[in-house]
Amino acid sequence: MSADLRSISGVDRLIHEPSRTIILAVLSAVESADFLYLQRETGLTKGNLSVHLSKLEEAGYIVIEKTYRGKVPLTLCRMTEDGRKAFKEYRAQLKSFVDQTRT
Amino acid sequence: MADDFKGVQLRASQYQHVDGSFELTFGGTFLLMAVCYWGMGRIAPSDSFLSTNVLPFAPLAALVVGAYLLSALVHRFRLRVTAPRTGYIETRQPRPLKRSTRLAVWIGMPALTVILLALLSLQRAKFQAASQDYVSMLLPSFMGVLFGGIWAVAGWKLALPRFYLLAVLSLLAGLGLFLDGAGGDSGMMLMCLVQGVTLCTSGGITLGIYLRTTRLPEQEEQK
Repeated sequence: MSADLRSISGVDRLIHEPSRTIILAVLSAVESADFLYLQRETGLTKGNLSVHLSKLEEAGYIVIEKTYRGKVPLTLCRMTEDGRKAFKEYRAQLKSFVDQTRT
Repeated sequence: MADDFKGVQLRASQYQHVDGSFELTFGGTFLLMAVCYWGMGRIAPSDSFLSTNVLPFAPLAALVVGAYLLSALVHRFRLRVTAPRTGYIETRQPRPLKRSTRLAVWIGMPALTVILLALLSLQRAKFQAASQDYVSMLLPSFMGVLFGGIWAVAGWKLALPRFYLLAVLSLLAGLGLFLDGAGGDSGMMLMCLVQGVTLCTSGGITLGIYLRTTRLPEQEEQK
């Protein structure tokens, strides 16, 4: 197995979970998104989404802010710079692997 | 994955247009401008201060004030109606332009304006012979073509077909006014009216469909 192919084993395991990959993909396309938008886009249940968001927050990839817009309370999730960097790197690794294994 | 990722990005950019409030805001502003042009046409021209210094700027004021008031209204509407249904996002700021592009814009735009003004000044005699009010005669048609282009680009960038329809209607209105020769205040009133009515209709239909198809999470759970 070539070194290029072996690089897949070095992907960030925290991001390499389908639900978390989708969450980060959605958050990378926006500045911030609230819980409901993420739920609609990912199709996850409230409980599942909460668990994955907590894991991503612990890793420092996202921040969760409780804020208000007018009198409406909002829980906004925002990707950090570290998160954007990690996600970009993950995509590059995955793309490289796919390119290497294309028949 | 690349296609899915593009889909996520596309849906994020479509978020602002999911409930038709963008069209309703613009449509409302155009209708306000149409009312201003209609008022200007009704008031007989005179040398009074109001007629020479205030009235010509009324449509511009309607554009600025109307857009501000309506966008504030739409913002409230989105927080109360759209956010509880679709969720809330803040879109990413576009990347800053490259230094070379910025320079091209900063130098190119004034240079183009100067060239255009110089050409107009050289050809002034010809324009005056053709028509005393050449610019105001062509302005409504130009506006139709300009907005036709803007809606077409919006349709292409956002992948929303209804903007292509708006583009076609705007271009047809511009062409119609050009062939009819309706210019000046009445032409502008007609153009603003067409833009306002088409945008409000499109926004209204989109909002109706959105409210029918996108329910509140509590309603979905009950279902």
